[in-house]
Parts: sequence; structure tokens; C-alpha cells
Amino acid sequence: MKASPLWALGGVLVLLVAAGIGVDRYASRNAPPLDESISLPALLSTAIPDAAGRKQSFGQWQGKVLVVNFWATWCAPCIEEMPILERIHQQYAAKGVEVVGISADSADKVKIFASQHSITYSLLVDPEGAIDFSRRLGNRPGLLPYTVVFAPDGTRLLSQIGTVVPGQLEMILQRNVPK
Amino acid sequence: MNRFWYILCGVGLAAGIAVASAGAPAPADELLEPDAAFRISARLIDPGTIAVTYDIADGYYMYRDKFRFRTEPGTATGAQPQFPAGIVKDDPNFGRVETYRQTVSIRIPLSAPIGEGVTLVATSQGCADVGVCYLPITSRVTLKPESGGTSSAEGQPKPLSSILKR
Repeated sequence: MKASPLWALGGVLVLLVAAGIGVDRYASRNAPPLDESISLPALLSTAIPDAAGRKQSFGQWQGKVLVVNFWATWCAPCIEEMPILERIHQQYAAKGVEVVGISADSADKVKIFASQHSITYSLLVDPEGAIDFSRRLGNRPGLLPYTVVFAPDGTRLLSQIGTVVPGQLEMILQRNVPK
Repeated sequence: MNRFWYILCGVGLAAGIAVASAGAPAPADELLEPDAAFRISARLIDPGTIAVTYDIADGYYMYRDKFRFRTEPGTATGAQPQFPAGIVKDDPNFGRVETYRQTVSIRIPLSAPIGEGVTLVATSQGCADVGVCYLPITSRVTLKPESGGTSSAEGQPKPLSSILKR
């Protein structure tokens, strides 16, 4: 059969579709089995202190897309992804997205870290309970980092063990925030 | 010319498949349990020295500055543990960082001979290249002179899927 440029165009289309499928599969491939023990309403009734010791209730962020990220100052992959989360915060805060970091460290370590790395999104501190809390939110192995994203209606948009993929979070938010 | 278009189609298809699968981290259920990713064993070199060895799975690594050792009963370790040279790099966030891959053996001098036996309590911390870190892991290894002073973790490496409910 005589080939034509149409075949080349077909190859390019396959490339684009496969890339789209790959990124979409990637977004869901790493999601652990969902833990139903903590839904969004339960999360919104939770309060955790920030690095200054002030109790912060998740209820203050009701109605927003919530990006909750569990991390620790000793966790290199956690720190590597923080610029992505800071960029998300800068870009989407005005569009109803709240990025909240929950650290498994002491408040002093988090305070120093935040000032050194110019992190402006909310940083909460729970050295004793952060990992257990993350487990109840779906991080069964208790690894770090762990990111979970809730839509305002309680739909879980992402449950990610390990670093978020550049572009993955943006894609999810672009689908779920007002244009 | 026809061959050129066939090649272009094939390259496009192959590239698409590669993009779809490349760069994705291991799914959570393919990550090893901590005691399988960092398998510990220990033996007595002599009545006053323990050699502890970690066999580290491919794609995983451990931090030198996170190792802590003590013994029960409180024979207590004597001089500082002797670490081999690891892989040193300058981390933009942590400064000078030394890690171990594949295997690391550490000598632990005891302040007194073990007598009838001793339990080594070892704390360590490691991560995986796919971009996750494990919490600090505490392992206990019991050593008795009559067994030749050798003890190790048992069992084959299991994926975390064995602890994830489906």
C-alpha cells in the first residue's frame, strides 16, 4: 500500500493521544485505595496549630478547593515539590484554591524552614499526629510526601503518595476552579 | 519516500507509548515495605563489636546522619559507630548529605562484652528514588553467642500492596 502524509499525521495524532492518556493515567495511577474514614466534612471540622501555635480550623476554608500536603523538613522529595505548591498557591489562591501544608516536624523547625524558603501558603504543625492523620486521609503506608485534593463538594480529586508531577496538579485545578 | 512516511508513523507511535509510560513514579502498591527496602542483619565480630548490615533495595537509599544505635540491656555502645564512606553530595536544601545504596555495614563497639546476649535497637531513615521517604524505622536484632552471634530479618521482600486494603 502506498503511504501518504496522512499516515504521518496519524502517527502524530497517536503521539498526542498517547501523551494525553499517559498524563491522565499518571494522575490516577499513583492513587492509593481511598480511605473513607475521613471525608471532607470531617476534615473541615479538624483544627491543627500553625507554626506560631495558633489553632487553624479547616472549616475556614470551606467552599474552596483544598490541596492538603503532608511533609517534613527532613524529607528531600517533600522539599523538592514545595516550589510547585507555592506556585499553585500564588496562581490559584484568588480562584478559590487553598494550599495547606501539614508537617510532621516541630513548630520551630517549620518556622525556620518557611522563612528560609519563602513559603507563603498555610503551614500547620502536628509532629505527633500528622502521619496518622495522613493515613486516615488515604496514605496507608505512611510515606511522605502525601497530597490529597478535595473539591468544595467533597469530591476527592487527587490522592498522591510521592511528589506531585509538574503539570498534574495544574490540570486538576484547571478543571475544577472557575475560569 | 514511502519508507520515510512509514518510519515517521512508527516513530510517532513509539514516542507516544514512551511518553505515556515514562517518568511515572512507582504506584504506591509497588513500593516495598520498609523492612524489605532496608533489610537489616547483624553479627558479632567479637564479644565487644557488632557489625550491622543493611541490604538496600535497588532504587532506595539511606541517610548516614539518621542512623542511631543502642543496645538492650543497657550495655550501651562504646566508641562511636564506624561508618564506611558513602555517596556525598551537596544538597541545595540540606547541604552536605551522605547516603548509602545497595549495602552498608556499620561497626558498633560495645562498652562491655555481650555476655548471654544483647538486642541491638537500630533506628534509620531512607527514601526511594521515585520520590518518597519513609518515616524513621526502628529495628530490633537479637544476638546470642551460642548462635554464632548472627541474626537477621526473615522473609522475602513484599510490596506495600500486602498492607493496603483492596
